[in-house]
Amino acid sequence: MKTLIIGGGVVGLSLAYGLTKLNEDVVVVCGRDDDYNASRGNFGLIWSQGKGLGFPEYSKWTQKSISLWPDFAEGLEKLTGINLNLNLDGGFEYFTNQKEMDDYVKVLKEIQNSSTSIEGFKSLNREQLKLYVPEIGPKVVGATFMPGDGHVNPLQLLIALREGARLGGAKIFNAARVDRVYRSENVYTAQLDNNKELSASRVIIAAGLGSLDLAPMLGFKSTVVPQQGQLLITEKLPQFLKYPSATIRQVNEGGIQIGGSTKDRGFDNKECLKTVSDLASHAVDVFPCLDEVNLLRSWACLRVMIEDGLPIYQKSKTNPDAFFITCHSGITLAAIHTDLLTEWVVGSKKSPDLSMFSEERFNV
Amino acid sequence: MFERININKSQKDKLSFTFDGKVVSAYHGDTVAAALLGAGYKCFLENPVLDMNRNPYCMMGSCYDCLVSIGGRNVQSCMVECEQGMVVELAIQSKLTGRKGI
Repeated sequence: MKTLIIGGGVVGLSLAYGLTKLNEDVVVVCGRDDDYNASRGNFGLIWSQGKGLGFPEYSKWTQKSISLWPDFAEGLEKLTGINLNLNLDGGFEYFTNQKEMDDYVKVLKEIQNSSTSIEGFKSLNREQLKLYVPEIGPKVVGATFMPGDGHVNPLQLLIALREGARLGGAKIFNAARVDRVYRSENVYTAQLDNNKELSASRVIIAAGLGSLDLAPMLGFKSTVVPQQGQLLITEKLPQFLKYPSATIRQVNEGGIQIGGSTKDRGFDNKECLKTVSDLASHAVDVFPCLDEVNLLRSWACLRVMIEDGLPIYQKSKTNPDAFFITCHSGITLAAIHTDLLTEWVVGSKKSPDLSMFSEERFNV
Repeated sequence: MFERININKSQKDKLSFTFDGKVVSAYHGDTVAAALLGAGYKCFLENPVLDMNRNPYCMMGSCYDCLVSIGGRNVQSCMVECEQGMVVELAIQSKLTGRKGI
């Protein structure tokens, strides 16, 4: 069956790559460079720490994806020759405020107790932490550590997924916006803004924030909202940070990437000096050695947020073989998206039960 | 090798500064990167991660492959104008690795 995927970000291309591995016929429509493109601006974490409070199924799904990541990365690297710079040695969350840390430890305990599959986190005081990360500054009171978490070069991942899908036979259309998608009999057609039309008998809307316009056209009810995050990158430094944190990591090229701001600013994707300065001071609090380091660039990008933070995996009830798939954590979930989520899309015997991620949870 | 195309500069436009302890002559209006290239330096930055030397690529402040240290801070040498007596050092990261980048 031919599948049309609307969205050429990490989510859409993970599905495209997964489908080509099942020998499915795949067409992908990528948006334009001036679209919001969350896949091009993100932080590159593969992260389970703190995810799934009140939703043990989400914790398990995340943890399962992380366990699939090494094989997924190896297969994709072998196929494409692109190094993803995967590192899953564990991830820290640093604290400069004891009360905040205590509260966070409570959250992690609750997540851990509700989800037996989760690997145990560690809570480290300042002295214990210094054994692992001697560079921390005097303001750091401690950190939580999740073994198995890590990071990847997100741009290399995007390129590799695209190349992997292409080598698997997927046709990829660039710089095209879908104006309209509709069903006629059993054929879905996407009308592009360059007057082309693409048709297939299965359609997946995986367009991130672009889904806001597209998903309702096929009767999907749930919605996504933009959440702005700002990011900084420093000049290249010798590799010294072994572990990433949710806000500071050293990328494989040597720069320190700093992020983690969250602002609800609608579709505003411009950075502001105040946030840049707050992010930089936090980074210097954690690692005083960054004080003298130059910033190279800063940028803002829009996260694809869903009300409860969980992914939306929805198969249409009224339009056969139409899917709406979106999530915030496309990097973490890339491994499972090419695997179990793809099996779910084709309805194979390995298809998992994903009903808890359907849009029915929003009472729509 | 680079050659000057502006031959109208006079002696009074000349200045000198030091780079890594060696005297380099230049003209007023030269950027540090241009002066170093003009003086025959091919590479003056060592990439701290990859085992390779870098040289100025964009000459407009974007690529950061021309970093040097001036006044204790790393700066893009293509964005700094030469001054008489200026002390220019190898970028700080090159010193950290203990190797010279030229």
